[in-house]
Amino acid sequence: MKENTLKKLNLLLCGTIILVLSAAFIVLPRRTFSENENRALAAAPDTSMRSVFSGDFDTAFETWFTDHFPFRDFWIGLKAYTKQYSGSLENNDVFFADDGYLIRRFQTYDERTLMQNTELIREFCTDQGVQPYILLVPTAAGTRQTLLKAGSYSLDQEALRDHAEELLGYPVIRIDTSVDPFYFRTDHHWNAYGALQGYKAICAQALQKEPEDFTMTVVADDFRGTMYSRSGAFRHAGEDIVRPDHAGLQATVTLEDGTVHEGLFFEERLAEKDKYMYYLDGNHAFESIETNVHSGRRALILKDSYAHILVPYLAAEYEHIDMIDLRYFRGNASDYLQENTDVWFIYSLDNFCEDPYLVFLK
Amino acid sequence: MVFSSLTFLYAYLPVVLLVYFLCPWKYRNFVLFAVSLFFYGWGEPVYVLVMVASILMNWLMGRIIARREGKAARNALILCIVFNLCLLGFFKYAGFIIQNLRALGLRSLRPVQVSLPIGISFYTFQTMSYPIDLYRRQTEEQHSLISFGAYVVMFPQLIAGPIVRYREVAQELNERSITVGDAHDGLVRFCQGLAKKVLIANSCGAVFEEISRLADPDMTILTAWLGILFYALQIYYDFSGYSDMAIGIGRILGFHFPENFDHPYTARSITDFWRRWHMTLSYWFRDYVYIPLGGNRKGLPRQLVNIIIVWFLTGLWHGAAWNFILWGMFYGFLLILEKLFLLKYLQKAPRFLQHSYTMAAVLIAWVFFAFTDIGQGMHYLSRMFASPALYSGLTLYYLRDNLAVLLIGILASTTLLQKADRFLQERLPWSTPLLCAGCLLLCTAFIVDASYNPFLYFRF
Repeated sequence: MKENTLKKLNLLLCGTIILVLSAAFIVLPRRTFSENENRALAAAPDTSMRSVFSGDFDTAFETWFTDHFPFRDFWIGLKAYTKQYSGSLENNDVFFADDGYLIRRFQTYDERTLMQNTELIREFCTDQGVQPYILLVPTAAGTRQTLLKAGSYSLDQEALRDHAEELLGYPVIRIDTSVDPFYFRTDHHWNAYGALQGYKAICAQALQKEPEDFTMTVVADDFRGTMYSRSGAFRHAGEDIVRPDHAGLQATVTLEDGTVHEGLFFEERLAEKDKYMYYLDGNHAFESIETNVHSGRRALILKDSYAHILVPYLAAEYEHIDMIDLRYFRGNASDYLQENTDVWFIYSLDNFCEDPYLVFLK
Repeated sequence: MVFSSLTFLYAYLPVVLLVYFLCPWKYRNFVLFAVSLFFYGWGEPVYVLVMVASILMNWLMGRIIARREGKAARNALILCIVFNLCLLGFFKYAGFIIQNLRALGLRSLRPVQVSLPIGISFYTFQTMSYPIDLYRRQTEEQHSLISFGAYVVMFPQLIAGPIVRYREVAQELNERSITVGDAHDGLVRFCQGLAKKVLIANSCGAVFEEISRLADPDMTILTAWLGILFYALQIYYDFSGYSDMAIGIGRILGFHFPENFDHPYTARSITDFWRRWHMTLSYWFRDYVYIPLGGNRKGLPRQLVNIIIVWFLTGLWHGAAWNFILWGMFYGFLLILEKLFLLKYLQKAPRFLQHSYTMAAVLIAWVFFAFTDIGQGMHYLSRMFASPALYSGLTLYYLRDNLAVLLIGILASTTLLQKADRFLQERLPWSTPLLCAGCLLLCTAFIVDASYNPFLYFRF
């Protein structure tokens, strides 16, 4: 008798789970956008006869059903913590590190891509007759190995940087990464303090001058970055977004669509999930910056998003800066070269080894 | 629609079960037939026509075979088998055959692209058992076209087996009852299968996928072995998980499907392995190919030829590519060696040696199976035996990062899991509902996560 009761209980329990979630799918309002993924969720599939018989209806339906499944973020988190507590070192390629750090895995790279990228840069600089400044910022996976759990193998990024330098034939600027904080805990970027170290290294090794003074102001304290979203470790606390100010510095940013913005920082982005966009409004194909610095120097920066937080410091050194993101930019970078232009390549080291977009450098 | 998808778990299955159990008893085969056709047509609606044609043909030929004697029955049987094999041949092998003929110089042939109707390898084999068994008078004619259709297209085992022979469910097709115990056992079996597929197979698959793409310097000897071990776990849990889910749903619907796996990785020889792996396919080949060819009754040379034929076909059945044929022939070769002398020596060897030999052979065979491109497979195989380094930090990382799933995967492939299960059922009976519900929730989380895609965000 008791055995049968338990069996009924089991059927009831599992049946309830399935029915409640099915019903929740029907009843709950649909979200159209997933903040954590920063993407629009799938639209309802087209139910016309043609679509149904096209052979793609099943996948369209599945995508839609899964995208709008009730309590989506709860399930993502449940999976993440299941992995963590069952002893995995990572989830979705993000290491659970000590001290609240979530660190992007970087264990292998494609030598061919690296060789191609370095070759493209050398070619461009030789053709244009310029001596570039190169900054390849090591990521936390390389420089914060002590925070990683035992067994979380990571590439030796110092050796990798030296290897890249050798392939490039130009010196790569060395940054003191030992200071803390240097990286965001929940984002794959370096933070304002890390970028300050980058700026100091640039002054010492490239510009041959003393760095300017900056004051740091906390402008937000609830930033949860890309690694937070990707790892699914949704119990991590938010962290600070810091604005570096140089007394008297004024700058105007012009975006590729002609929009003009006063200042290097975009307040309105602080209200969004990806607060890293506070710095120079995130990713743009092209941005140009006019400053009130009368140094007579211009800069052309070819970069990924690691540059966004560094440029507010560099702005104190240049009267004009052009920033090009080759992931989106399809024009001629060389059009922005003048006689007094410094050419910069600013990338995170991991991205530089994997980035397929340098082929658009011309 | 696969069982391990949210659409199946939270849309199709609840609706189907509600309709099935709410409908009057006498309509159940019709309901089963209708919802199964829907399931079949979900991915490729046009192929429902192929399915209906197949059902009609086999059922009609069945009528003739059952009602006539001698030549008429024989001709109907041959016609029916040819029809089924043509169906399979056209949809599954046409592209492969033409590709090979072109390679042999027949350039005038145009390459064809036919998308594979899901489960066609399974259901054509399954369906053929009906006319053959009828001809052998081992089963009785199914008078109802609906019931026969329900048998052919029945959704639980439609896509990936087990291959249920008609006579195994003939009785239940006409008359079945479902107790609370049946439904419960079916549910438990389904949850086990789901967990095998989603929690173990998918995780192992992701690791193998990554390892198989490593550049040569990272592909050390132990990494290569670890990779193929993960593949072995993936394919076992994927396949047996699917069979469990099929058997589980079958129970809920009132059917007892045959078992398909019996702890294959505990096998002590290759002969033993194939008595435990995909058993319904082995039986099918034994009963419908090997024995009709004469089996072992016509002398040793003929028997060896028969073994080769069966294993060539077994390989080919798994996929229309040479690597699968190679895989099948590799097993055929080992089985012949065992038959000739190896088994005799093996049985005297210590147990761990028997297991080591079997697992090593199985793992090497999986390399053939895993890479459709034989060149790639051979390259992988060469890394398992020759690489500049035995292991690297990456090897330890894969081991450490996936330790839980690896240990569970290995332990659960032995009989230990069954013992633990029995212990729990006897000592802690309330653990079953908790485990089932837990599995269901956890699998849901893993399935949702698989669609989680912050990648765009990360890069752009």
